[in-house]
Amino acid sequence: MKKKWTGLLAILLACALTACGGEKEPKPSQGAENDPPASSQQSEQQSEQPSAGENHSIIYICLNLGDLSFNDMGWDGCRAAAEKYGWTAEVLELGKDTSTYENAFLDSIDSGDYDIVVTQSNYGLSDLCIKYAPEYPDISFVSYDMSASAEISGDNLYGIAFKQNEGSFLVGALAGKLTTSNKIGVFIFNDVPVGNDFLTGYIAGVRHSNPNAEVSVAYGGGTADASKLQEVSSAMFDSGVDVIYGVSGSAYPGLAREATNRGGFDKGIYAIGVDSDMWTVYTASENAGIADVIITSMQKKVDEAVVYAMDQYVEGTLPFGSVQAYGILENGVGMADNEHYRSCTPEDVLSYMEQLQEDVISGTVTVPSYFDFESYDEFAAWRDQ
Amino acid sequence: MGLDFIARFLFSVIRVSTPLIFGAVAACITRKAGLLNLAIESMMLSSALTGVLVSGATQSLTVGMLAAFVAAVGITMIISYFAFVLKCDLYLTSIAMNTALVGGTVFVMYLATGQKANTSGSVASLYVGNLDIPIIKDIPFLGTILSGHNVLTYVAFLMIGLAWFLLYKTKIGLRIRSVGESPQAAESVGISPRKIYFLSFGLSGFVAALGGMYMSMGYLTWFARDMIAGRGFISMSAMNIAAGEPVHAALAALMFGSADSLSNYMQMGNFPSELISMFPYVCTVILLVLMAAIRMIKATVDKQHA
Repeated sequence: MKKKWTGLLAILLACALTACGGEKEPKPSQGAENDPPASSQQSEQQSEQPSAGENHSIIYICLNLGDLSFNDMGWDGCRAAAEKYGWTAEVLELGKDTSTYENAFLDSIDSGDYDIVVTQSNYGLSDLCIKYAPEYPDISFVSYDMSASAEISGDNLYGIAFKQNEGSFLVGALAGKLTTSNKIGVFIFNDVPVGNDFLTGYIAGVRHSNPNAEVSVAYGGGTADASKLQEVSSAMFDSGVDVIYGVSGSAYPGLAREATNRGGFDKGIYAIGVDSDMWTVYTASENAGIADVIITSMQKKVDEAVVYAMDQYVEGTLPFGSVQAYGILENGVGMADNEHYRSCTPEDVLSYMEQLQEDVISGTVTVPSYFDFESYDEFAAWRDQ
Repeated sequence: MGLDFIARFLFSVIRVSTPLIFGAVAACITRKAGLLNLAIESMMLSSALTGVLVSGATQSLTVGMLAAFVAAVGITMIISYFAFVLKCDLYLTSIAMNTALVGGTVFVMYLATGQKANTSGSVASLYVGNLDIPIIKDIPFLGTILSGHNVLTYVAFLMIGLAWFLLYKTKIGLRIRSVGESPQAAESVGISPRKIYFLSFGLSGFVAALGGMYMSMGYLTWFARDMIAGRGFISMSAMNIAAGEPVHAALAALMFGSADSLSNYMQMGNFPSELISMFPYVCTVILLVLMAAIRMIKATVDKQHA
């Protein structure tokens, strides 16, 4: 009798353990009531001849959904495109264990169910696209947030780069205007090229609007969670910093919470959001209590860029084999211009920012980019000067 | 800079150390019964999630906290049943439980909220507030360090004393310790080791539950996937350094907290971020080696004197 139970438990445990691996969840997109009744069988038949029919199926590969930011926006873009053209879109969440990414990636494209792969670039995902695109000529790969300097080729891989330095330049200039202590902080999710491009623009922006201000930089090491960001921002606020730009969507609530605890705008403390228009997104969610410290956000309009790429794909004008950079001019990045920002920013700063934005678009003010530096050391010297 | 800065740093040390103190005390209770508690991680994780979900659903802090206790103690009971009744290997069971709950909590979170990263945008959960201590808060340096912490932080320090009292001043504590010393001897005088194992694991789960609640209902106010992030294991090594003495273990936990806190402050200097994220764990290893060396020297000295 006892043996029977032990065996049963062993099986249960084994199941529990295997369930921890990267799980794929076919989701015929949330908010099902708006969806066209496209069955998955239909898409399977279509994928036999991907270019023949009008019907395509997208697989969106990301780390995990639910960050109200970068990952969610890519998925929003895929769903929007799928809805627009009556395609199907599914999501594959890879989770935290980077060692499983390549297998999960291959499993999904080997399934034959999909003919468009949309990924973000981080954590080696764009490298996987570059590596496997030549082997899967029938599948189109779109990877967003690539380095503008990345070199890709082939006729089925397209890269979207964002000029995060331009958007960051604007919020950096704003931070330089808002600070009263002349100490400004920034948290970068990881010491990687895209992260440093954010940083380059931000520091340049601060130096442009307020040459006396100094910038404290903290890197997250890639694994930062909200509690880490909360502690780091607490340490920064302790050292006299009064504006922090948190470049990490998933860890961001930590910064917003800490800034709120310290009194927010009333105490002269500001937070700057990233990727999505965080004040708007947070206000609409259960995070509303910590939304009001977010003066504005550096928006990376991932969703719009993905839809735009799909539009070009349908028209047959998508320039495969190249990376295109989306800046302020192309509406790929920008500073969130919401009512909260309008009402809480002093009048002279508002007009200064408007002028600056025009100058950046017209090219009167050039924004440096991390990708312009010859080497990392040169960048580090510029950063720490 | 200066004194004020140091005070705020020490404040942050206490804040960061709180979950480690809960974990270390929880580990001490089972250690005294002769068992290494590897499952603190999963106990904290389950209570952190349950507390958020239930307090969000019922809008009652008390119910949320009670549910969190039930979840953590429930986990310990499952582990105990496997290990002490079915005679599975305790450590393997604990490790399996830890691994299973990393995914399991995300699964439950997804079922309940539709979110997979954290509950911050989707559950209006309640949390335990901060407490200003009336007289102490006005003392210049000390007040900044000691006052204004989360209520659960004070509970953590209370728990150190309670655990010490339980282990050394009560009949149950005596039984726990005697089973830890020699289960056979205890059994020969009519104490059932199995009952004591269940009891010590249950108590341990109760204390660890507070640590989990602190993480999701005090320190942060939401549940995030994998939010305990190794704190259970750090507290276990704090317990190990102190050989299961609650007071010493809490001190060791504070030491690890300082290392962690220091790493946050180091972020602002120009240290490589990889080095900084290693720092608390390297400290753990160095401390363990140091303690072992001290113990060995002590043993040799004792031998020479004997």
